[in-house]
Amino acid sequence: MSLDAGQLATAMIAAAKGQLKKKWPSVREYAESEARKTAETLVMIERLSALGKISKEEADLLLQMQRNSANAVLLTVKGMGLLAAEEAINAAVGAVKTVVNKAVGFALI
Amino acid sequence: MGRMPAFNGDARSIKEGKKTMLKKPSAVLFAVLAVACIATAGCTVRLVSDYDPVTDSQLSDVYHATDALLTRMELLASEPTTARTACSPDQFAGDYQQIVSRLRLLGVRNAARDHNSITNEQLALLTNNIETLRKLQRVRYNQTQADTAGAANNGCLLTDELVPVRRTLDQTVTAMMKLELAKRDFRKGE
Repeated sequence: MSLDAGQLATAMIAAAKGQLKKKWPSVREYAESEARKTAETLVMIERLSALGKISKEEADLLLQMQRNSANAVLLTVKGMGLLAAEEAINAAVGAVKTVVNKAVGFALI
Repeated sequence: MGRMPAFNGDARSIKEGKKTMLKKPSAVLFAVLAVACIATAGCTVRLVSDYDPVTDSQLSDVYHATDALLTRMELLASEPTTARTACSPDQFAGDYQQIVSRLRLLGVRNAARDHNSITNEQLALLTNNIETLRKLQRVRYNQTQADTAGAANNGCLLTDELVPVRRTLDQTVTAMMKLELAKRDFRKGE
């Protein structure tokens, strides 16, 4: 049996990269669209305040709500990033199985 | 292990040397650990909790209740003849109670799940948003003077004000649903 650490590492990295390439665009798309919505909402709040339609206290409360919602979005981006990383790790671990079994010539793992 | 860069005693070459030493051994170590992991338990790494259809469904319930509350406020705001008493915060106590109790149920369920800190943090943010909305309603109701734009204040949240309110609540609930569904969709084929 000849197992090459470099070959194994290459297979793992390729598998991990493949998963990240597949998943990352949807994470980025979500983050970008939510950032735009957040910016629009902030502009709305500022405009209402500038026009005198809402008091400072009301503006502060609306801004607090917006901060909470922006944080919720960032947490989702974090969660989706972790899920993508998880898939990449599991793909890399799966690649080890393939390489090892090929090297030994039978399903060792 | 790879050729080390020539050492000439400065901090930079020491750093370069360390980098080179660490590259290959960490890849080998990871590979060994991965083999051990698969050989012993066929393990799958989990960084985030599993998809929970009950949480998914309960989030929808929270959204329905929140949507009903906001729709009621929007109708009151759009009617010029709305009586001040109709917008008294007391009139909405039941609506808030329903939403908060659904959030508590979600909180208890999700606190018990492993690798679920993100969802738990999001629930705290959503709960805070509902409480802040309640405060906002009270603040508006207690303002008895006309706003500086000259419009009479009947104590109801304004139509314009309810737009960012709805957007932030929608965004918060959607963020939570998005993550919950990602837990299912990212792992398809497992």
